[in-house]
Amino acid sequence: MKLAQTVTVKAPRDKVWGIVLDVPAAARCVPGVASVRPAGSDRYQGTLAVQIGPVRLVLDGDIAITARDEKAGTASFRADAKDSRVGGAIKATVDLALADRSGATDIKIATDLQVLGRLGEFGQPVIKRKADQMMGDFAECLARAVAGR
Amino acid sequence: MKTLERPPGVLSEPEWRVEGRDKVTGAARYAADVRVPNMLHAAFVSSPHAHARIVKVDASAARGMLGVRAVITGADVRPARYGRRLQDWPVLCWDHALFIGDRVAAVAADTPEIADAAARAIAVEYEELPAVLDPEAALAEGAPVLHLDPSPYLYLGGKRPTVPNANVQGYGLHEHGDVDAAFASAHRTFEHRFTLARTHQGYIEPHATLLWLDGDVVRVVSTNKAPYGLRQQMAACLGLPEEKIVVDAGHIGGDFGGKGHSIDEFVLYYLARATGRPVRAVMRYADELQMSATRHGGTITLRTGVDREGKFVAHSARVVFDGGAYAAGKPVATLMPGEAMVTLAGYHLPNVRVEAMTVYTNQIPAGHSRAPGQPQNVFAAESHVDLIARELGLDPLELRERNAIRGGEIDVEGDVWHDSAAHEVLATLRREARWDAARGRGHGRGIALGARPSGRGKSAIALRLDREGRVEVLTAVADQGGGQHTLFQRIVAAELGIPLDRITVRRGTTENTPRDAGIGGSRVTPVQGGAALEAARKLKAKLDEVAPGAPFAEAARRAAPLEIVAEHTSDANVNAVYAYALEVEVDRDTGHLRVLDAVLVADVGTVINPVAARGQLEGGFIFGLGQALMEELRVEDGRVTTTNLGDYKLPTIADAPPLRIVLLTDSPGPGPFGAKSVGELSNPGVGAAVANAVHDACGARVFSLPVTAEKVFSALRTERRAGPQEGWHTDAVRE
Amino acid sequence: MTYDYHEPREVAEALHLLVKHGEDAHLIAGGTATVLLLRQGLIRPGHVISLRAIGALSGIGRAPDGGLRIGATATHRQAERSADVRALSPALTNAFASVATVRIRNQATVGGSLAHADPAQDPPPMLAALGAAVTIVSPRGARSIAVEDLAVDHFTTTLAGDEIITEVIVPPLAPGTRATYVKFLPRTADDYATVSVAAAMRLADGAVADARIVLGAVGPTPIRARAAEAALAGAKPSRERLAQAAALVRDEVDPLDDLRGSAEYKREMARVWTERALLALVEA
Repeated sequence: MKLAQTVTVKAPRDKVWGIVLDVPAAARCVPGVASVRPAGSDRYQGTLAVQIGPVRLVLDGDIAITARDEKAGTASFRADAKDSRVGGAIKATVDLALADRSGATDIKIATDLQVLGRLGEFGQPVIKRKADQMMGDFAECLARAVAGR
Repeated sequence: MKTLERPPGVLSEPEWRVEGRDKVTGAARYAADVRVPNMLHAAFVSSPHAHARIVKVDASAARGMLGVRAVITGADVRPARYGRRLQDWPVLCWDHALFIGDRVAAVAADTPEIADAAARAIAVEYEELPAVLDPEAALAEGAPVLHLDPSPYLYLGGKRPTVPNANVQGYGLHEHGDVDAAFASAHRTFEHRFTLARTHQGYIEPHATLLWLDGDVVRVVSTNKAPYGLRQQMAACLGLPEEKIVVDAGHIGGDFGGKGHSIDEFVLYYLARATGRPVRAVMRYADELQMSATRHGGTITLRTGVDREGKFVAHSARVVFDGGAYAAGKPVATLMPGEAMVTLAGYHLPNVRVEAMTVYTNQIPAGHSRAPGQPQNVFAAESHVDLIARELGLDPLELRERNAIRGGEIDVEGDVWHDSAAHEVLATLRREARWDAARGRGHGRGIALGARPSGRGKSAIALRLDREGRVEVLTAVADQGGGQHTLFQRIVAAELGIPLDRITVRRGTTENTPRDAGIGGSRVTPVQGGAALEAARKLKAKLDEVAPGAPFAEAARRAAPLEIVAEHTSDANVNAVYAYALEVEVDRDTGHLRVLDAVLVADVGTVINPVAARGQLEGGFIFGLGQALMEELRVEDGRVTTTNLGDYKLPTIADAPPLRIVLLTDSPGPGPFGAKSVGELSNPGVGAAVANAVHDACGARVFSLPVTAEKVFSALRTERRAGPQEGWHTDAVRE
Repeated sequence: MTYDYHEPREVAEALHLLVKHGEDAHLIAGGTATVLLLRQGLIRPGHVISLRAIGALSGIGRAPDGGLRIGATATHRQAERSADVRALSPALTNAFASVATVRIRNQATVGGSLAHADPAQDPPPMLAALGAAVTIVSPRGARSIAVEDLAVDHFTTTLAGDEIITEVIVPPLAPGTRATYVKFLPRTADDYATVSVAAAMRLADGAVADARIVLGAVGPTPIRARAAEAALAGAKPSRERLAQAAALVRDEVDPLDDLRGSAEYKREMARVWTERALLALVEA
């Protein structure tokens, strides 16, 4: 499933760049992220707790920066995480694109999310809605975080 | 027309089902009810990717869990593949996984919970590969080849037909007459394209199996409706002699074409071998919907040329079915659904070219479902014929009357029909459905015509006579709900002229019954029923020999104990013709349609089980309504998203509109006393009749199944904006 | 699927167990939703606490003020057959009768369905349109919350982990109030709604004195159509006015694209069925 968000941050692009590529800091903006710690160059390990009604998922996995081009203002991330209670995994690629907008910066976030295994048997449309919500919250939180620095 | 050999009087009474008491009291045992001491439970790990290379399987954690007795992976079964005709489906994948749900590891453990937990503890590393999710993409030049080296795949019974493309499972091209010349000289030509959803059979009982090793004999309790077929497939796949495998398939809780295909039986053999204990598996319904062999989805393009009288002078078709990741679910030699080539059934067609194929994709494998290939083809054909009638300004029933096949004429497959009930069926439909009466406001009527050959095959049945004059019928055929056992009882009773209560029917295993073709392809009445009749005749002859002229009881006393085994082959190509008229009401604001009334005229020959025959036709109608109105296995990025029966809705009796069935019984079939097959007669026509009725009611044409409210709503909007719709193409008039 | 099964007789005992086992506990009443979640492995509680043996949670009856009290463990079937429910509002009877099949209704409970918070359920929109509230107890005491405010997202309510729904209170209806529940079922009779509309309206002197419209299955929770309600307030309920008000629900709903229809189709169906519900109220 593909998700797309755009937020505008009142901060110059280089400042935004610094934060979005600070994965542990940026990850704090994802609701439910418990901890993110470095695990090698451009790799991080972390845990994400997600709750949809009575269904609680604890996704353990890693995030890697797979591409970055500061000049173009684009970066790509890949996240893989597994839930061993329900049995399933998520796999996401996130493409970020920053664009100057007269002093402010547009952050475009394009996510391709796969919900794998039994996890995916829980209504896909609801999962998509939830993921969309989370990415929306992430984008807004990121905007606040940048503005607050 | 042959005169019909009238059946003896016993058949005119409504039947009592011989297995009915066991079913309603709960005494009937189904495969999932069977338990044996020391039994283990299986669970599986399946690929979450539509197309992937398996890099590594780490089962160490699972192996260390308390209560886990065995963990096996692709490496343990390589190179075993299974299937009904082409054995192309790995028992467990070892190098590539080809659809979401393809299995890569299996566990046997003390409880289902432990097995499940162990399966979740197995870590599989995949390298994702580009997925081919659409048949046309799979046929395109440069498409990834899904089966890189099919040469070692076993093909049961002969040699696999050649295919034009590595991603094609099965292919057929039929031509007769001079189709190009006929199109060139046609008065008008019409072309339409239709899209069909992938659907599930929807049986209530999931696949279940229990397997153990008894010395060097493999014992299998299974839901398979063709036990000898399963035995042959297992022998080939596992490299065992057939006689070392015993298949025991008892009551079957719904089939609808899905119980000829077995999945778990093969991997359980390896688990039983690894543990030395019986292993059992009952498929989760979520897995039924994600990995069992479904009905084929696809696209069908039909082109027909007519002369000035509206006669079909030329017909061509291209049928592309999405076969999914494996062809294993298809039993027929062509590796296509049985009626894939029958694109315009029941019509006289002098010039034809039909091309059909099943294509490998990274989707759930497709197999057989009640009347394989027909609901798809009849939907396309009868929508096409209706559209032609509208374009020609002809009454849709009249256009069918002008073209319906008669005795001595040639059909779409190039077969000449000896006789045909098609015109009688249409005339009866016109009268019974009051076709010429005015329609209510907002109501529309639609019809569909179709034909289906009676089943063919070879079977044997044994009769045992005792001194009290009791006859036991011994068969390998289970009763999957069709009334098979009752049928055998009544045929034998009718032929021997003895009361029904003198005859018991016993189902046996492959160890103690004569070899049999199994249930499928509308076979039971003509083939196994024929064997029962043949056996009764032989018994009668024997009694006449021993005690000429004596009453049955006395002859039995003198001749018993006596065992007769009779074989019977039915290969006659006899078609049964049917037609529907449906009346619908369409809510123009929502697109919701309601079927108000339905009439089915069916040419069935002699009826042996009057209640079951009607039950089959009624059940088939509701089954057909499901596919016509709502059923669709939704797939997103290769993943089935309808993973439960709350999302994948099936109609129930609360959704069944009134149905009137008119049986035509004068045209004899190949079965006992002139019977024809009815099990797959009434489901294929419903979709087209619905779509045609909707068009008649509100002008909206839906070119795909199912005909959902939203599609009708969208078509109404499109129609309001005018102009041709997608899938609709009419050539210029050729004067 | 192994867990300890508890069957307390008193609410206090159930609360005690709930607190004791915390996140490892799951409440069960009729089980029509919980058993599915258990079987699918989506929840794996160590303790399942049944509410069915707690007498205080059962029963349906008239409240002294003329309203209705529906015990949390009353089944949908009991509610559907209750003379008291019908006497208050035949539309509420209809909403209960619209749920799935009689087999489900015999099992599923009114409180359980509110706690499960599936936005496609039938009774919650109708209860919300009638201004119903639920009573909730916890070790901290009791509180009351409007049905309308109970659900906050798909399968998510404001209930804390140590809270139990004990009853649903439907207030007496003001004289002249009419209510209706309509459910659009384009697939099968026992399906979830593609869209459902619960509406209650009171007319005074030929004008709309009060209107409440709540839609089901077209958002993460039942959706109160406040803009449509506002468009009706004080107005003469002509066909045109009802149609104008109904058109406003298109932007108030927030449906998912799913197998019951695209989001766009559901928006349009929400409009169509709201208009039909309103017409039914006015023409009744």
